[in-house]
Amino acid sequence: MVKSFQPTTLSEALDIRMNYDVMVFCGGSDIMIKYRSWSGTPAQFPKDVMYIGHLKELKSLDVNPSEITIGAAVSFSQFLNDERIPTMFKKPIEQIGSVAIRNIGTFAGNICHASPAGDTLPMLYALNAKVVLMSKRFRRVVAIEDFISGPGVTCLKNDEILTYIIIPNTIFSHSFYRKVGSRKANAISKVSVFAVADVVEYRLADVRIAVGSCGPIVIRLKDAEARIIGSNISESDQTVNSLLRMFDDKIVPIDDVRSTKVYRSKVALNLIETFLAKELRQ
Amino acid sequence: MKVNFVLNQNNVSVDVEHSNRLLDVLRDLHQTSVKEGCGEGECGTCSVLLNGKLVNSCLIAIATVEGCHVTTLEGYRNTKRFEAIKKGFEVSGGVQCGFCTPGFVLAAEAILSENPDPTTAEIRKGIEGNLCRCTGYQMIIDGILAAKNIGKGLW
Repeated sequence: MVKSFQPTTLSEALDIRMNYDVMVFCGGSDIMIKYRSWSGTPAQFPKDVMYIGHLKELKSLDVNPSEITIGAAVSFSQFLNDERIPTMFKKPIEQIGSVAIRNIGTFAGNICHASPAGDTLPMLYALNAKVVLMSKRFRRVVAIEDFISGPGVTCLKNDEILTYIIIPNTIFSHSFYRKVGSRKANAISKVSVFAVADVVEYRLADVRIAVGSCGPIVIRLKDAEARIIGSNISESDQTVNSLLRMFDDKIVPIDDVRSTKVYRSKVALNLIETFLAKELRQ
Repeated sequence: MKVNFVLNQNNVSVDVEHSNRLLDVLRDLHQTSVKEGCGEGECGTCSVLLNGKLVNSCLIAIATVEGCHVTTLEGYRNTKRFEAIKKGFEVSGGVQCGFCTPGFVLAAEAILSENPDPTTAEIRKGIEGNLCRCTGYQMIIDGILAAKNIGKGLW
């Protein structure tokens, strides 16, 4: 049977992470299912486990005019109940799992799990979020798109813990989120699109579009975004079409138990078009 | 490992593996209202309140429960709030086979303790993680709407 560690401080947790090969357990909503065994028996973790969900240092949620800093142990519910967080950042989070899942699930777990269907990821990519990785000796801040390199693959080192998530507290005039799943609750997404834009006097001052579940990692095309920034939103049909073609080339979904690649591509493009051609003009 | 927690206002101490599920520990403590349906957080039949928050006990490792307050239906049924929810479910036909009912009652408590006057939409959102194969949900929603009136002032 594997051992467990329950540090009382972050510093102690970093010591343990440096000296032992442990799996980090925060909320547990993914890990308890992944390693579940027969009914009535303990979950079969492949190696020693360090529980960090109780650490006070990681339960902090700081909001200032420039940044939102989310501790690794902040549950989705805590994030949703915080009135300082802009509503547009809550849209993807309120659709995650169910009430009971949101009470234990965390951003940090969703990010480290690095699923192509991770519900927090399209928003974090679109908002240029960063993650703070701490070890006993170093602290580094990595952009979300540099942190995740494939399904379940991240650049987290064996002695590091993802301790905080930093979201720039930018205000946009428009935001859009659609998650397509088999049902409204407790669904793993087939396709999801998070997009924001800032429209100033009919000109697109900023636009960002991130697509989830349509490839090994979240798709965000900064060069395509750059192409339509500055355009007039009422005259941009051609630009919208050229942008959709760029996405069409880059969206590489797969057939799996939840959906098909044909459906995913079509729906993803429809959602992007809805955002650019309809929502932005309202 | 030894884990101490408060179960329905009684101190309990269990000697278990750290990765045992709260679900299994509670059933060994004869909390038979807590049932395993799916075992993966989808169905809500293992719902309990952990420090007042609704959770799926199949997703909780017992090591994380040290020092926490756990409420199961066995404890909740001794409250006035339970009487209101029970009555609400009775008048609306919200209980048929009964397998999901303990989970729905605790989900109803979680909804009403956050907002004593929820709308139908808010109730639907609050029970999104609980599955019922008998009622079609409408009678349960009616039951919670009835409970909020029957138990006015309790939440």
